Amino acid sequence: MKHFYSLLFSFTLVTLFVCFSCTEDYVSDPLDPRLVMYTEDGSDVAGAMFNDQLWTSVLNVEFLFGGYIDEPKIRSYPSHDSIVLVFEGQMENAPSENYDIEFHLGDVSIDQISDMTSLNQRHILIDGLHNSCHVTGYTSGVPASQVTGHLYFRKVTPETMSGTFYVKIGEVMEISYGRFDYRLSVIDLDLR
Amino acid sequence: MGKVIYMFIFLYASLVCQAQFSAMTGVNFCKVRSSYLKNDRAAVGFQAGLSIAYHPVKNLKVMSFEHELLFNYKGYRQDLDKNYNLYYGYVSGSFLIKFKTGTIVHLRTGLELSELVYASVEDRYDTFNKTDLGVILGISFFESKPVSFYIRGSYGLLPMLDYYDIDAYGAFHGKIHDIRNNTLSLGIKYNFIQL
Repeated sequence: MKHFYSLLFSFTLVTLFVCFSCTEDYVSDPLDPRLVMYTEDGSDVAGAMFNDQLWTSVLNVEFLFGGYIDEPKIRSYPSHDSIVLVFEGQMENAPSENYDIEFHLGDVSIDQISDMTSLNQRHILIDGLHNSCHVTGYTSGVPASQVTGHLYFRKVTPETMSGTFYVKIGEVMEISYGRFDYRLSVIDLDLR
Repeated sequence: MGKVIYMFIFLYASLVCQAQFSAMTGVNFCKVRSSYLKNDRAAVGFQAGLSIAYHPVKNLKVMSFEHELLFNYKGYRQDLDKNYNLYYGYVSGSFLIKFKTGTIVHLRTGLELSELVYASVEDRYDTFNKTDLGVILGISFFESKPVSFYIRGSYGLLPMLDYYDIDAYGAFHGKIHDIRNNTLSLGIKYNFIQL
């Protein structure tokens, strides 16, 4: 019983830490107020236009027991010589559904979060071969070679990651004016 | 503190020179100049404040100096997926030279220095530049009467926004210095002391 309460207390502490540490700082773009303003401050936001529809990032809390999680806005899964960046978001006209943008970067060698600074000022070409992009609801059934674009890490510091992106999915979807600005941290959740 | 002392000294000097003290209020028709704003439209605001006019040279009655202290409420709209309205307020101090062209009409021109003190969208107050400088050109009627009327244009010289130039593909093209105020004001003045 004592062990159970100790576990429950630890779980609650982690929950509170994650919830109160995760606040978005959403500022609309001064030229196009539909979009989020581009910043390099670790504002924990992302935004883009899916054709004419507005997409913005959402705040989710996720727990992986016995695994690794990072700040809830981005999930990074180091796997030897590649990483996966996931921007979780919603469409303005469908707020109850999640539309995630996933970048699988095979040419990036990241073993720990401090290696992220190697991405600073780096343009990564999305070609469907070495680097690919998957978008919920839009890329399933589309050949990877027809999902192209680029991801630009304009400023990456040990604490923040900011940049822009553009993706074209065949002839049906164009993701433009993409921008992101996130804080970087890792939470190692290991409940015994 | 310096501004308060300046205003006090000026007020004293103006009264010694037999100045015209007035209260003024009017409507601002605002339209910003921008190369980057999408679908911007004009907006309507207002202005209100005080003015003091005096003859710098005693025997030269056709020319006078005028100082104004105003609150200027301006703004613009953007028609995108919906209407976006942005209003902002400046405290403006102006120095004008006024020319009497007849018994009814006065012309005035000068400079207006404004300090941003309010924005209807809180984030814009932090984003926009706080200082604006404008050129004033105007005409007024019945200045020698207790109530006079004026029409004036203000042409903003300084950009409100310093921001990144990012295209649809996420490429950066340097920085932009954009959004300048253009304002047409129509108003009335209550002249408490006559020149």
